[in-house]
Amino acid sequence: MLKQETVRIDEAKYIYRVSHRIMEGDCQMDHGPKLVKVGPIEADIYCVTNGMYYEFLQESGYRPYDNSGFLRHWNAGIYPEGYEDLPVVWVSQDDAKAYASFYGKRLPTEEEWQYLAAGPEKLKWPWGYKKDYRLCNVFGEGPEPVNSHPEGRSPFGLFNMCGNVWEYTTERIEEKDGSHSFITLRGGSYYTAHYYWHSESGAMRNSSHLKVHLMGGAMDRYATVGFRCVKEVI
Amino acid sequence: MNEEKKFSIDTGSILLKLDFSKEEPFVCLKHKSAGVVSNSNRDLFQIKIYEEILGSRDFVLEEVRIDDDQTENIISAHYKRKEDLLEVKVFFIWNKRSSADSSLRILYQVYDGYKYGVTYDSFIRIPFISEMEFSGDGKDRLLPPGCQFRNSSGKPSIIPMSGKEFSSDIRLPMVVLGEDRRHGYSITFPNYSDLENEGCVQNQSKFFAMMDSESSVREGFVRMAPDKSFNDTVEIKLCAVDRGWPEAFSRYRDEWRSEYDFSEYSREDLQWIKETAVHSFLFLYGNEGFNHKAGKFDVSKVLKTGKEFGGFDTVTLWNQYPRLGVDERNQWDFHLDFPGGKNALKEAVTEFHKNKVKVLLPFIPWDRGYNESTNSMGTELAELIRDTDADGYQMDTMYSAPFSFRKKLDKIKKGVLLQSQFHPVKNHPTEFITSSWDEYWSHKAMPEVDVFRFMLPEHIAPMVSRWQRFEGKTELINRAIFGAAPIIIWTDIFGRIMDYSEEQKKRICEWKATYMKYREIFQGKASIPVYYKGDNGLYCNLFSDGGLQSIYSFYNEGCKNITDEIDLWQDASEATVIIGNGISELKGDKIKITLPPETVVQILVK
Repeated sequence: MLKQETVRIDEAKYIYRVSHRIMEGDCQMDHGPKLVKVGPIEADIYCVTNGMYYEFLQESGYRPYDNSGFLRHWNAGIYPEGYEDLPVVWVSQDDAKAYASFYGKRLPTEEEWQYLAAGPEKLKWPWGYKKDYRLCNVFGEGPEPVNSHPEGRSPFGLFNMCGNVWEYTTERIEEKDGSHSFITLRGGSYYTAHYYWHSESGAMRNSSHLKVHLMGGAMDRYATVGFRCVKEVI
Repeated sequence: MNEEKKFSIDTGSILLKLDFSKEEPFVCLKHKSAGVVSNSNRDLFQIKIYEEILGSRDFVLEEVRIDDDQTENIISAHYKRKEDLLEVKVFFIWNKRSSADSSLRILYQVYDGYKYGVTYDSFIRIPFISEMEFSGDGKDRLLPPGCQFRNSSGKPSIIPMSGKEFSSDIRLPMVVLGEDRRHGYSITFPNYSDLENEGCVQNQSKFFAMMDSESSVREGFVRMAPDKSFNDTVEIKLCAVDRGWPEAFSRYRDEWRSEYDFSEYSREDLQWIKETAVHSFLFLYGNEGFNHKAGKFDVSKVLKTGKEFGGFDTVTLWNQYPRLGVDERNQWDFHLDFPGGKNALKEAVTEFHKNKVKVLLPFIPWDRGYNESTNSMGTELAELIRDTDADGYQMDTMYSAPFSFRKKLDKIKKGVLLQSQFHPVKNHPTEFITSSWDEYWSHKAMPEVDVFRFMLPEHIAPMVSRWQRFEGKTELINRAIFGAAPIIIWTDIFGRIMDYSEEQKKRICEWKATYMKYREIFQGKASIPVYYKGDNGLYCNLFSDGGLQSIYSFYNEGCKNITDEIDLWQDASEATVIIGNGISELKGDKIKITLPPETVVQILVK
């Protein structure tokens, strides 16, 4: 079973900017452009796998308050055989944060995630400037092991930052009037719905994100969304 | 060959003289009730091809004849131009019983033998359209078929079917009126199919029907696409009118409706939508109707909000777009995974019902998976109603639907409403989709009315314009009152809260009370869009169910008070302002009205 590896990211500054498809309504947050500081942090090279999450549950005893849809793809409390190195999915942002917190880590911020994917050169895709489906898992049948597509790694050596599964970042936007809560997803996934009005997916640019409103229960867990962690270091 | 070349066609309302021995066979036209003779010495057609403009004089008249049967008379003229392999047939057809139909149909069929072996561009101009006058004294007024009236922004005051000119079969008349604006001629463009779009190349009537300015009518050439057969190229229906635009519209509406069976609209179980005025489009991603902390619907909050608008009569619970597509879960899965599942939804529906609020659910046709069929989706729709007791569907992006949906829903529960986002445009869906949105976007929308609302008033079309800000919401309210339409309250637009002001909410309350009190008149089948338009910026719609009462809905487009007098549609002895700040007074067969700028005032007349 694959073990997590990390890479150190030294403190750096870059001009952060997010631009993306607007699915009517935009997202009510700061998209830049603005100069931001990231690091120093240690970043997970891989998304958290089913195997890693299983260990977490054993070690922490974590059980979500509302477990609707939680690890829906597992059977009897454990992942199916052969799934150990696939990214864990059917976890909410809270479930992901619980994992990270237990290990003294956290989810990356929007600014961090983008830097981890694009590097100081602000690459458009983790591997460079040109879209290349051979370097990521898109339009596929399902997630692939988190160490797949090594040729598509980001400048810091992070795997599958484009495609395979969407990734949570740490932000949760709570509208001041209490009307909405939403999060953003990064990187796209293996799955692409077929119609124009469906949410976008597939290979997403490093500087893009997808807004999803939080609705509660199983609606906040997905077959296509996983996560990786970062750790603050000196 | 029949030797007769001079003809007088008397339809009852018009007298047309033709002389095929002349170079300009259209001799003159007489409006019988007005006694006005005009349109003298005109050609029958002009065709532009091979860089030439050819009139009937450039063709050889092969044959002209008159025939009849038990119901109709027909004059047939056949022109040939051998050197260009072109032929034109012109038919004049009129009813023998003018009491049944006093119009004259003029039909053109063009044959192109492909002189050079390939198809060249060709254009046709019809003097009966492009040169039509009432008196020809310079005081006539032409109402183009594609846009009879424009507001000061240059936008049409009667908007066609939500931009779907090509697929709707509603083609309003062109009207030419004399100085009194009462007597004149109406020209309509019959169509015999609900599919007459650009793909139907031979019949070009639709392009004449879409001409939206006097200059385009007068210029008059329309591209045609004839082949080596005599198919219908252009057909018009010409008749006299004595009461101006209202008569022309009313006559056209009767013709249009005669091609439909609207009995579905009389179904007892579907009448409830006619008794609704204020509708809520509720975005469940937000907290307007769902308490996300508790993971529960918050019906009482919706009802409380509704009171600010006079009470919601329906609520549409929306939780799918724009979320669909992040993973493989489809719209049906969403109902299972949403907190509480279908049971929670059913509980919410029950709570709404206790408070006399109907509940619509979304149907997202484009979410159809490749493992789904029309049949399976119809079953899903029916089962969801069975499981939740909801009252209908808001059919996203649709303007048509399979009738099997209706049948499957009827087996589960009576009174389930089908409401499409756009007005239905095909014949049968227009007959059984009994409600749709009257939605518009960002253009200046006043004064403006939706033509479908007047063609089929029993089809309830609440008005919505999702992105309007404060000024636009004021305009939306004015538009709803002016056009006497229900209104959809949508304030959480995919995460952006865009509320109404307290004053706007008060006006909506006032409008709901007025609409509900007089809804039978507002929904009357004798209503007329832009019954009157003055040069001073005054617009008026007429609402009537054909009874003794009618409502005149005025709008002052200008920036100063307007005082004007307009003709009453029917005799009356009493006029009362029922909404808005205006002054009205009956003066014989006229109503005198004074109203402030940019306001709507409605007058009940009886």
